[in-house]
Amino acid sequence: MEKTVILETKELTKSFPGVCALKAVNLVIMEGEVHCIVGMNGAGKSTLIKLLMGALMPDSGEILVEGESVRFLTPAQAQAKGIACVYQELDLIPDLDVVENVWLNHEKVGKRFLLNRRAMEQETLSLLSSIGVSIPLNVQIRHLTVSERQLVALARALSFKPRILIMDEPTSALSRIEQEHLFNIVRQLRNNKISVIYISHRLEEIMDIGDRVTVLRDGQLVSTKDINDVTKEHIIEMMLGRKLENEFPERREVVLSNISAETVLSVRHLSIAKKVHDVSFDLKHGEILGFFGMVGAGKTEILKALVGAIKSKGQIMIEGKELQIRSPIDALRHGIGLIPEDRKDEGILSELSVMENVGIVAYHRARRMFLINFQYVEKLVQEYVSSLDIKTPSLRQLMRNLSGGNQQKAIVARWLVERKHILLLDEPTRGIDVNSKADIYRLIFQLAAEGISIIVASSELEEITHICDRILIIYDGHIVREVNAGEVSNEEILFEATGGLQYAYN
Amino acid sequence: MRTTERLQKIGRLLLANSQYTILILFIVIPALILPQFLTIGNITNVLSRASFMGIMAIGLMFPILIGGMDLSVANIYAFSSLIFAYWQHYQISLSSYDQINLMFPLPILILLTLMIGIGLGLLNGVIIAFGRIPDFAATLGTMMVFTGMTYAITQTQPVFGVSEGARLLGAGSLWSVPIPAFIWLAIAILAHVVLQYTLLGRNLYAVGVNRKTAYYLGIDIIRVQLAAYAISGFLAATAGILVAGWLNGGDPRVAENMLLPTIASVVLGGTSLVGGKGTVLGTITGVLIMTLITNILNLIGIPPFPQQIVAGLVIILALILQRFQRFYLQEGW
Repeated sequence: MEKTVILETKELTKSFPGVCALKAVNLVIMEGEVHCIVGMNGAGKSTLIKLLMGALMPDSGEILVEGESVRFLTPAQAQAKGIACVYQELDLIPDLDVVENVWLNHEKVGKRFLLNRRAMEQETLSLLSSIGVSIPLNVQIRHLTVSERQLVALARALSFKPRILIMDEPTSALSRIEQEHLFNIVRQLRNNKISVIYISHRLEEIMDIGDRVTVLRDGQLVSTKDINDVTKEHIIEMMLGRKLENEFPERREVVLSNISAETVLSVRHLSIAKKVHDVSFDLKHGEILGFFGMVGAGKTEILKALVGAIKSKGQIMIEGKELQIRSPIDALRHGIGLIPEDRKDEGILSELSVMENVGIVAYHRARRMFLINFQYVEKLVQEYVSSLDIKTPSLRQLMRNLSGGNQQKAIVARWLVERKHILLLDEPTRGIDVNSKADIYRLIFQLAAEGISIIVASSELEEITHICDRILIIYDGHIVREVNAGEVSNEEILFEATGGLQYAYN
Repeated sequence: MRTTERLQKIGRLLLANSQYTILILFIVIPALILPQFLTIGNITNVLSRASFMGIMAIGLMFPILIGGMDLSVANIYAFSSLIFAYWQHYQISLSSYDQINLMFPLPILILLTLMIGIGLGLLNGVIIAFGRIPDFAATLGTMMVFTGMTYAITQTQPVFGVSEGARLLGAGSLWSVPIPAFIWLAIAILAHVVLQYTLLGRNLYAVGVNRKTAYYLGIDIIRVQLAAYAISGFLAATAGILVAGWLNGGDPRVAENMLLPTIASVVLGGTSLVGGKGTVLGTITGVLIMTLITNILNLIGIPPFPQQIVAGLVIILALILQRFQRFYLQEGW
């Protein structure tokens, strides 16, 4: 079956000061295929998308849509050519409602230049139902969960009636079931002859959904292969340029003496309005405790309540003493640090240097009189930047120029520079590449070995079962079960986390 | 080949520091064309005019750095200059009933005025931080309140005559350099040190870059906000004291046409209105550019109102240049 080429790039090249982000890339996208693009962080995936979407201008090379050379100037022109994109960092406007977001900037206009709200509502409804979701149309985006936002973003992309749809890490915020659902949507799109460019870190997904796969490494296109001709290991090899032994570092041997019986943090009857109901648990000295649950199960809320960022009822005790934690300032004073889920919005200081991003927590003790001794801070930070292998041209580089994985490592490094007894990590490896993941896991092990007590909240089952000593399964704001590492199968954990018996009874 | 590369490099460097490039152009070109430009009289004039706005602009930078705005600076400036002159003129006495006219010594009056500045700034901070009202709206409100207070004191009449000491501070000079310029310089150095090397300074940038991140890092955002607006009020009052000396009196109208040029000079200096970005050196440059625009147009002989047209256009052009610079240097958009 001869397929037609819909999109092609010829020798596409783009460089930024100091880095060549994309080198002579020749990419061919067929009509109606699901074309996966994989690569480590910094391999050039984001740059490629931005070029295709007209958000950046190439230095050289050209983009052909149906054989016609185009020099896109703006995203609007790219959209006119039938290219739409669901970005990883969702670009919805929180204060506008669902309908307004879907139709933003291509609103339907009725008579006399007034917006035809009803037509937009109807079409939004049919778009949403075509992807099989029901979200109230008049709700502001800020009130939606991350996965609902993702689906609205998808509906927005589809409202352009694209012939080529780019999806950047579409499943990073979705739970397993939602992910399955998304795949059905993608398959449906393929049946409708829409080409999907699918970018993901998760190789299982790619094997599942892709027709062809293109591997990028260091800005170069390594190879484009038919999905049936490659294995997961083969792709990883191409991504790394070498063989990878294991995705996860050696699981740490849980030395029981290592985790003493001493309880560091105990939480009793913690409730958060509508989200979390009467949760109680203990965290032991040097332990890695996992919160596993689907997106929206309440993990994030529990962690935020522990640092006082969300109002909650119940008791929080550290080493037996009951505490009133009203804000992260109180939490840090009592030795609890949080690394939030939303790296871009709550984790990094994008416009400040890598040094400041890591060192800021140490400023208060790096002072002599009133002045911060930056030489001291720099020495501290340099040590961790090199030991964690954070890739940055210099400590003066702005944080936003780093790749996601390196940003995440830098954020974790903060709490190495300024150690806290209790560290809460929310989705610590979301959207970062395999190598950075392994680095972060190693870091977590190292911290725990040094006697820091850690809670990791994640909706990635393998991550939780690999790194945690004990796992609390959370479903719908309740702790439904507590298991020790290796005690039960992954299937059983997943079963509990998706409603367990409640499911079985229905 | 070699030379073109070198030229490109120089071009990039000039573009990357566009505000400094503009300032140099604004000094070199008039120096070549206008004979009166590089005279001691003119330089002194430019420097003292720049000093008042310059001190205020450095103060205004603090709220802008945390992503806020203080629309009331010019009115704090006017109010404090007026109250300072008023006290001197009417010689506030310890008691008005006896005939003894006990005037507070100048340092105490200065201190009192500065405290009023800090107080008014703190008021802004409290409204914004505790009332959780957008900075723009809050300071728009206090701006009107302060204006009213200023005019109410004197029923719109200026106050003439200040003490010798106050005259010296505002209008005196040392080696032909006006005293306010020295004070401006001292404040600039101090502000630079505070912003770059103290916990408060770095926290200001962190809050400006990303308030949520700063919150999770345990930075006391309310304290940072209060400090920023208090500093803004403090420096506005400092400028107010100096201008009272310069004018030999207090005039409520000094607030007029002061706010927007001050904001403009902060922005021209490269401080981002979104927060998190800006330097004292940039702000000084911005202030000098703003002052030079007026000065050059005066020297050429363009009347005040057309002057505003030109000044506005120059500001827009300079900002376009900055925008272009960001794009060209691939800082993203």
